[in-house]
Amino acid sequence: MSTVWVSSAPRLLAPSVTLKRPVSRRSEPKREELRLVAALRRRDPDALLLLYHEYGATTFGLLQRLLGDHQTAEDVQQQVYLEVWQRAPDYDPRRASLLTWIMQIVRSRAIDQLRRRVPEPHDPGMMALTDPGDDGRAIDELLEQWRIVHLLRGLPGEEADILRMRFEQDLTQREIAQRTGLPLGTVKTRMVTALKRLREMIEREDVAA
Amino acid sequence: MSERPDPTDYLLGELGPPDRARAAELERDDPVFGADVARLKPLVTRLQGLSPDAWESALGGVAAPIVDRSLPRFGCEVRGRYGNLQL
Repeated sequence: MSTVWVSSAPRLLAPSVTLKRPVSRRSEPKREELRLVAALRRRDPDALLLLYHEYGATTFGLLQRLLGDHQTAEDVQQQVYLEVWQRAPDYDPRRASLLTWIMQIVRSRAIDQLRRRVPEPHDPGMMALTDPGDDGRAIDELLEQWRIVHLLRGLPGEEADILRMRFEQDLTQREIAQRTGLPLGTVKTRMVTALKRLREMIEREDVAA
Repeated sequence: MSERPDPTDYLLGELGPPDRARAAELERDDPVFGADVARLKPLVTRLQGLSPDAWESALGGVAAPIVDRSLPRFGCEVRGRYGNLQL
């Protein structure tokens, strides 16, 4: 891994910034996000650690998907969070949610990487974009998918599982009930609750974006 | 056939033909039912469009990052399945 050392960032030890819950699992998203942003602006490296904990998996999954290999994704991931650290003082939460802002940085760094890439063999298990295209539409489509991905992580596990079984594995609610041993009514209730909760999360994000 | 089909079941394509026809009618003629369907439909479409690797990325059990304190000269390394962050 090519390492970017951030000389201006002090050591990360036990976080002094604590959030009551991860950012995407909050009941009052704005306030939690603002606390994190305020800490970043104070140049508190613990805030970067928390931010990485919250968004790192999402951005890394997206970068792997976009770039097609683990190593390059790690390198670009590093660049993304370095940029987040450097640009945090300029971030305006009134203009975009933290998720949207970080995803835009991912987009820019991924496009840079794709444009300077010399075609080479990559992990056959991963599908990378080979060309960002003139308008980045394919990238934007993936960004949108991964925004949903990030929000799915904020659902209670049992609700996320129900959605995955329904929409990824294409099971009917009745089949989910058979597989899980849950009463059909419980499956349906969880489905409705999960969809409602996720829709509200997306609406908050869309408004913020 | 139930009196009023469930909008979620309708959008998930899990109604039998009579209920599905009734739901289509309600979607057109009943503002409350129509609004319920309209609210949910974009989300259902988005979820149907998620690729398997997106689902895996979302719910595949990504490990929490670990703060490695063994790099005192340079700071810290945040490590996880999704990459290392060295500061």
